[in-house]
Amino acid sequence: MQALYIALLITGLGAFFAIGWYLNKKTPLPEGCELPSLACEHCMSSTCSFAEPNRKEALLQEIKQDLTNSKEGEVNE
Amino acid sequence: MNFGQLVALAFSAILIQNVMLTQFLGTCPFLGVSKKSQSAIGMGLAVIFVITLSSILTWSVYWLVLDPLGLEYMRTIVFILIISGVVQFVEMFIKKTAPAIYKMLGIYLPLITTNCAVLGVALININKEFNFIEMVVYSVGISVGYALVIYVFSTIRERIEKAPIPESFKGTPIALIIAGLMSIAFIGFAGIL
Repeated sequence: MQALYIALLITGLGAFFAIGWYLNKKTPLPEGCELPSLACEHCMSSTCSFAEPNRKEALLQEIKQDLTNSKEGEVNE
Repeated sequence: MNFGQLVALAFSAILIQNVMLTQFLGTCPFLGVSKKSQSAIGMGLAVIFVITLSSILTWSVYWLVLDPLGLEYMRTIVFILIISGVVQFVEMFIKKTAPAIYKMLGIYLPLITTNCAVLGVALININKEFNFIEMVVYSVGISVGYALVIYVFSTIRERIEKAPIPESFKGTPIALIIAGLMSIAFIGFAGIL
């Protein structure tokens, strides 16, 4: 009987979290709170979901810089 | 517990048993979100809100569900799920109803799920067998204590940025030294009550 209670409890709370996460994800951000404006200047966390777009942006910049550098190298040669 | 004892409990939670400087819970956001005082205020307010709300919920679930069913040993996993779920709903609610508050707290709410002080307070409330009022007073006190020290710490860090300190101490090393000194200072409150 106790195993059933545990299963119910964990399933219920898991569903509670999953529904919350889904609804939260679906809710649009209020105006002026878009992620690029926040820019994660205040926090060092690398695992935060807010840091993801910023990391992608930084990676893209790095790739563009590398491409520009390699093109300049070819021209010089 | 009479009114005087509740005031003593709140005072003790804020200064003597400070969750960060004497119990060392929530160290990651304490160091990560304290570079600017404005960020520290936002984080402090979010912590007050979430700790109070999640403590009420976890205390209720423990005494109304887990204890009667004999599932006390499940409390850690249950509390983690409750806290994560509550943060999601709180964030969604604030997004929809109060954009101004979201602008201030929004970014800090997901970070709070990784703040072990929230889980720590929920577990302490159960271990100390507080009644409802004591639990609310203790939770508010602990979270106000956290907000207070993160704000004080951030103002010190802002001033340290401009101070002529050796290169090797800049950044995290000096921040850890300051946190250590603050912790020693807070130990001094232990003799008051």
